[in-house]
Formats: sequence, C-alpha cells, structure tokens
Amino acid sequence: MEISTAAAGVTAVGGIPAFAHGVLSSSETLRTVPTICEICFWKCGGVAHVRDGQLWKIVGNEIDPLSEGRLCPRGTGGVGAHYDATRLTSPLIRKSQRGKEQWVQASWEEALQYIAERMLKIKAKYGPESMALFTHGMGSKFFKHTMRAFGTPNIAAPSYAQCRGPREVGFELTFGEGVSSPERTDIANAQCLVLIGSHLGENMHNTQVQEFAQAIQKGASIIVVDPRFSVAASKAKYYLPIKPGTDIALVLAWMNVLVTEELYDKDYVEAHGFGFDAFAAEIARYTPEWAYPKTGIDPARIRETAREMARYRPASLVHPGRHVTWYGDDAQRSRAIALLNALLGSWGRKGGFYYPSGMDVPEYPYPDYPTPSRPKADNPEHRHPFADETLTNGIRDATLSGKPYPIKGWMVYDTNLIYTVPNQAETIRAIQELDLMVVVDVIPSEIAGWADVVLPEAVYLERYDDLHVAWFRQPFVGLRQPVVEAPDDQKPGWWIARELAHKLGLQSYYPWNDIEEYLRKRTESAGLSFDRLKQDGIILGPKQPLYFDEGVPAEFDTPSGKIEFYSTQLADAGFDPVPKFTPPEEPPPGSFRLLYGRAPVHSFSRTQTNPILSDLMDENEAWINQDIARRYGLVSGDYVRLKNLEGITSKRVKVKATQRIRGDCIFVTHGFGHTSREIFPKYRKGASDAKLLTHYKVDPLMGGTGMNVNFVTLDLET
Amino acid sequence: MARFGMVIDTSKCVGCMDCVAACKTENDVPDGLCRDWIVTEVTGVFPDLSMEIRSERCNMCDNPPCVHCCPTGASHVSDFGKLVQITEDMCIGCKACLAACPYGARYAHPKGYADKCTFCEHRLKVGQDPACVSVCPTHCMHFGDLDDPHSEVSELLASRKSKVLLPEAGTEPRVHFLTDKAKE
Amino acid sequence: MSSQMRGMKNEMQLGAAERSRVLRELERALPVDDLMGWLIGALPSATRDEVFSVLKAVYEAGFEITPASHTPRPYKIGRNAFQACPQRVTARRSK
Repeated sequence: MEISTAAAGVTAVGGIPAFAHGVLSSSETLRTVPTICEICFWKCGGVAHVRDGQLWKIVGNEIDPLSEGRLCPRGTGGVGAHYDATRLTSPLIRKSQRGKEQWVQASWEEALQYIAERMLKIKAKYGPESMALFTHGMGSKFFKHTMRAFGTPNIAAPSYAQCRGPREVGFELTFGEGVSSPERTDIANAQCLVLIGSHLGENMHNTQVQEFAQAIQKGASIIVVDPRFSVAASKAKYYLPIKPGTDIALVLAWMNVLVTEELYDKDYVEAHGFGFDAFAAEIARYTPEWAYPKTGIDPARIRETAREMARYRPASLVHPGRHVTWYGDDAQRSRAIALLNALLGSWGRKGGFYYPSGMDVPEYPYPDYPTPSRPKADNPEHRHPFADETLTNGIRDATLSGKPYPIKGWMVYDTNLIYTVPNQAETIRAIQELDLMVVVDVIPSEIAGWADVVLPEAVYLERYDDLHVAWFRQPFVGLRQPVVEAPDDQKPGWWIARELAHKLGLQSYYPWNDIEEYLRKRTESAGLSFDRLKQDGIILGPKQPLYFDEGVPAEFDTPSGKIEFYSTQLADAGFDPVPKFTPPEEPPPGSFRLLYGRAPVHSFSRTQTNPILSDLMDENEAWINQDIARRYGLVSGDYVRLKNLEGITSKRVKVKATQRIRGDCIFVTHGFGHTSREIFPKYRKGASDAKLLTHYKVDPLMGGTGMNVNFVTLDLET
Repeated sequence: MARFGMVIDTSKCVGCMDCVAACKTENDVPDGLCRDWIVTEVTGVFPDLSMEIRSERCNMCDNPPCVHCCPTGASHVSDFGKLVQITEDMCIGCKACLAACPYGARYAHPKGYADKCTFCEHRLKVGQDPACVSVCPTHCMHFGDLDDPHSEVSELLASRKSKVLLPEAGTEPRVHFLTDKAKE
Repeated sequence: MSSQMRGMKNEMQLGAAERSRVLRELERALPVDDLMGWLIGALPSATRDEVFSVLKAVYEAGFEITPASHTPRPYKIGRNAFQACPQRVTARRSK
C-alpha cells in the first residue's frame, strides 16, 4: 500500500497565525473580497476571507465559470503565498558578481533609477530592441506595455516555446485556430476521452479536472496513453503503456484504422475537409502491425481503441495536452492529434472542441507604440516559419551570439527561467553577456539570483492587476483586487511598470493616475459597472453558440478555407504535409529516459516555499519501476541521485519504487530541488529535473524546445 | 437528531489533496499535522494495474474506541449529529485515544490536547458542508444524515457498492467509500 | 475565550507541592480501581481543571494505568458534571 499524506515530522510552526480553530466567534469580524487566483495561470475566481484583519482562507467564487465555486488545492493553499516567510521584502541590487546572491537592500527610487539609467544606455548604444522582456502571468500586461513603449519587439513568454506552442501550431495548421487557454475541450460532454500523456488529476487545471470527474460520472470511455500509470490511467477503460517518444506512431495507426475500416465521420470530412485523399494514401502504410514494434502496443489493442473512439464520435475527444514540448517533433504530433479529431468529427461539435467566446472590453486608449527599427531577434530569417509567438530560446540564442543583433538587457517577470528553459548553462552564459539583468518576482527564485536588480512584487492577494477578459465557454470579465496589504516593501506590478516608465521618460504611456482609474475606464467602456465588478469579482456576458449545430460558422482560417488533412503550406515550406513518425533515440544501456510532470499541490517551481503547499508535499520523488529498483537494491524511501549523460548530478531524491511506470523511464515532479540560498533548506528538497535537462530538440516548424530527450543513470552513492 | 456520516466516491477521487488544504486553512491545523489525508492503494503488476484513492479522516465511529478509553470524557459523542468530538479544555493530553484509534485519525496538538477532524461542526451548525466536502473539485465527497433514508448519503449507499475501513475492528465507522463506478 | 479554560498551560491554584503530596498518597493507596473517583475524593476543594491537572501529573509520573471499563460513568466536580471511562491504577513504574 502506498501512502501519500501530508508531510509528517515537521515541527516548526510556520508563519500562519493560529486562530481559534476556524470558529468565528461573535467578537470576530469577517470581511470577504472576491479576487482572482494566480497560483497557476488558470485564473480561477476566488473569494478571500479576512478575519479580524488577518487573511484566513480563500474559496471559489460561485459566479466564476472556471472554478464553479471550487478552487484546486493550490488555490485553496494560496493564502500561504501571503504568509511565505521566504518572500522578497525589498528591492535588491547586487554587490558582487552575478549569481553570487549577495545583495544590498535598496529603495525603490534607487533600484528603478539604476534600471532606467542602464536601459537608456543600452538604447543609446544598441537601440531599444536590445532590451528583452520574458514574462508569465496576469501581471505581464503592464510590463509589456512599458517595454513596447520603450520600443522593443523582443517580448517572449516561455509558455509558448517551452510549453503549449507546438500544440497551437499543429491545430492552426489543421483547423486554422489553436486550442487556446483555457483549452476549448468539451470534456464534460465527451463520451470518449483520449489522454495522451495528459495526467489530469495530477495536472490540476481546475476546470479540466472538474469536467473529467463529470465525464467519469457519466460513464465516458476513457483511454489513457502514458508510460506512467497516472491517476487518469486508473480511471481509464483502456490504459496503453506506450514506449516514450512513439505517440505519433500510435496516432497514425489509429487514423489508419479509422480510414481503412471507414469508421471516420464521412459527412464531416466531406463537408469540411481538404486533401483527404492524399492524406488517406499517406497513412495507408501506418497499420497497427507497423505501429506495434515501435510503440509496444498490441495491434489488437490499437484496433480496439480506435473502434471505441469511433463508436462515440463526434463526442470523442482526443485531448491535445498542454505542455507538449517533448521530442522536437511536437507541432507535427499535435497536428496528428488534430487530424485524429478531424476524422472523428469532434472539432466544433459537442463533446469535442467548442468555440470559445469573450467579451469586448476595449483596451485603454494609449498613444501608439514606436515602431521598432528592427524585427524581433528570436527567429532570424523565419527559420521556424510557423512560429507565431516570440521564442524565449531564440532570444537566448541571440543574446549568446549577438546575432541578428545584440541583446544587452533582460527583464524577467514572474518566470523562473532557470527552471523553465532547458540547458541552464546556456541561460547563465547568456546572462553573462548582458549589461543589465532585472528580475521581478515574489520569492527569491533561482533566476532572481542572477539579477543585477531584484524587484519584489506584492503577491496576487495584495494587488490589482489588469482585467481578466476570459475567452471561454462562457464569456466573462474578472477582477483581481487587493485583499490584504503587502507585509513589507513589495509593490504591485502595475506600479513598478509605471514608475519605470516615468523614469524612462515614457509618462505619456501612463496617462492614468491610479490603477482604479485605469480599471474603471476599461470596465465602463465595455458598458459594465466597475463597482459591481468590485463587489462580485466576476461579471458574466451573454452565452454564445458553442458548436456548429448551434450556429457557429464552419469556417477555417487555413489556405484552403477547410480542415487541412493535407497541408500544402507545410509541403511548400519543405515539411511533411502529413505527419511522419521519427523514432526517438534509445536510452544508452543502464540509463533511463527522464520524464517530468505535475503534482496537484504545486505549480512550476513557484510554490515550494508556500507553507501550506509545502506541508502537503515538500519533496518530489523519482518514480522507478519496482522490479528495476529491486535490481539496484532500492526500495521506496531510499535516496539516490540522478546523473545525466553529461555527468550533471541532481540533489538526493527519494525513490518511489512503484509498479506504476515502465522500466525504461524515470519520472519526477517538476519544480523541486531548489538551490537559491535565500530559500530555506526545508524548501530545497528533491531533485531538479531542470538541472538535468541539458539536451533539447528544437521543433523545426515553430522553434519549441522538446525536453523529454535526456537520459539519466542512478547514482547510488548519496 | 441526525446521525451524520460521509460517503466518498473513490471512482471520482483523484487524490489532489484539496480536502487536506481546505481543512488546513478552515481549521488552522498546525504545520506537519493533518486532520484528513489521502491514501492510494495500488494493485497488480505493470501495466495491469488498478488503484483506489481515498480521502480519509476520523470515521466518527458508532462504537468509538477513543471515547471508551478517555479518562476525562473529553472525547465524547455529542448530541449534534452524534459526532465524536473532543472538548479541548477537558483533555489532559494522555494520548490514550491516539493509541486507541485504529485509523490514526488523532494527533497531539502543540497546545497539549488531542485533536482530529470535527466534520467542521462549526460549519454544519450554520448549514454549510464540511470544508473538505465543499471544496472537492470532483464532487466525490458527500455528507449527510445516515438515519434519513432519503438523504443523498443514504441513497448513495443503497444504490452503489461501498465499504468501510477496518470493519473487523468493530468500530462501526460512518465514513463510507463507494467502490464501484459512478453512474449517471 | 476558551483558552483560559484550557487548564494545562495556565497557572494552577493547586501548587506543585500539593500535587506531589497527592501522588505520594495515590502510590500508598494502590491498587485504585477508579482513578478519577479517587482523585475527586482526595481533592474535595479542587476545581475541575485542578483535578485534571493532577490527573495529567499521574499520567506523566509513570503510573501503570489501564481502562477499568469502556463504558463512561458519571462524575461530578463542584457543579461540573461529566462522563468518563474509569481507569485502574496498579503500580508506579518510576519515581
């Protein structure tokens, strides 16, 4: 029996004040404030409770269509972000070399002046395009605004090239639109749900997990494809323990069955498809027998599951996943998944993919941004022709090489690049090329350790951010507003971005005096009441048609105007018009493929210092097949180190010797193994997958970095 | 008076620990301690595996060993919902109840008394569900009056397969786990 | 608030000397079939919290204590009525 419990044995009392056992007596006062969670990017609406002036708990906002009144465990533990004792408390300026983590406390005036002076120097010497901004999260908006006003086009979010980018491109090439965020997956109505690597339930995208449970309730047929027996696999009718890196072969074989046995949605394909005959001819060779030795999945099983999907179409949803930067051919794999959905007729149909909608909330009327004199530096000559967002790794490359032009300054907002972008050494080398490195964060993350200036942001419970204009099943606008005050000298992002703009001489881009003025103007220009928004947290818009049969026009923004089974634009660009399978590298003998994923109580590398969430899980584990582990003399609870082929070794990590994983791979939860000196030792446990991810394969279509391409051995001398 | 219990659908539980987090913040449970927790049982050999995931807590037993060993009566069965509760100011911290509970549901609170899940009695009294039931994103947790044949919990027990933990211990637990697949 | 009622951390009217005296008396009286009943008799003027503080001291002093019955029986201290399971004390393991 495996026990996964809250952490035991921690005796230190955290920074959370002890109330009288959650009971509100008659002498206590309770204040509730609706706001938006920022523990991950889902942006669920919550209602924070303040008792006698102290932050108590946060629950879901009943009006919120994303959470339906229930937050996920990270959101529930979100009050810990306010109480996190490792938080950055004041601006810091480095007093030694970059990376030494030696700081002088500075005032905001000093810190912002320092930054502005150097940004203007860079602008004078290299041009404003030489500044780059890396961002994540709802607070990005104002930093992007300041940087655009400054004149740089080099603004990148890791969520593209290190996460969902390949999926957007694969679906755009097929349907003319991406999957977007939150995913337009109609899981609640799916009668057959196929998850390829997607581990809903451990991957805690709130709405998706809630809908997953609804699908289970309705008796949906669930098919899970994963080298690891995930929680989702335990709910599945069919579990396919696929060899890592061979998913495209399986998807091609499934499509082969649907076409050969004529189980696909003929009317749908007839009405909406382009290039079907060429596509069918291409996949004729990808039989289940062809796929079997590649994937390890029995041909009978491949046929059975293809037929199962067909049985329930069009309410058969092959989930596109979210973090899909795996093997470097990820855009093509995503395209294969898009094509499979197209054969099932699920796009634009109930139980498949719906068409999301959003409210029309005008942007604030700003002056036009200056036109940069050079295009962005991330994708010279469009060598990745289908990249439609800026490539973080492309900016890094430009910083390292000085080509197509030098990048001399980085500003990093709310993303721990050391954990996000593969090959930490490249990131660090790139940072050494900079004249200016600025990090805005809430905790002393590893990337903050490499900054010249660290600026402490107030956490989401302490600040306003821009409006959340959701693009979802139901349109709505949400407001993040402060619940409690920041405890130290932390400031909200909008204030930091505005103050910096003033110092850069860009005050004309901030014509509003305070954030409420800005938010009120935007809200009212959409015909909505800001006071109502402050009170309720969410204002719903009118529901729109979701599916073709509800009136959504079946129009596809592709060259043919149809669903492209055969992509001429791919062919013209020299790529496979129909996806092909490339076998992955085999692990050298004695080594394992390193796979990483999610745990439901943590987000990225940003929650390990949250006292509530850390109490629930304070270290990750290396999942090793139990029979393999036995051969090494290992049992659960032993500690080992993982060593990659470059000899880079992780910190000690607890072994989970389990039947729930293939023998050729090792899985860890991402985000652990912190090394920042300012993070307390008790929050630094576990192994950092990011440290071991030195290899990556760049997707030729769109520049994403496939990261499931590293191998590790077990280092038993701990 | 009602006899409160819980019915938890293991077919929908994903073991996300939202129930643990919600309980912690609702009830100010100290660091390192928890009133509810997740247990995962795996059976089989890869890839032919099955898994049961359970959110566990005090079972509010009808035959509670913790009450039967308490030297002060701090551990008692309250009239409200026939819930097993601890009167903190009567507890002398002897820990007999910690040992007596076969489920490990109790812990020694740093303030000196025995502590455990209360089914969020303070919330029940104002018509709310326990925090864990209210937060669960899969809606797999159900709470209600086991003596009311028309309550949701009673109807679930009547229509689904279920089990309790350690039935052989004779404690007559009131937390039931549904073990078959959910039905529409 | 109830924190004043949580006797274990608060100042006792009943001092350490008095508690030690009661413990020595208890040792001389062994075996005792109902510890709570015996304590109530030995401390006729004590409050409920004070009796409980001595009870706790008995547990901490290394006495052999086992349940005499698993059925709670009624007790009364002053105007405080409550039900608890009687405990048997047979020996003192250590001083």
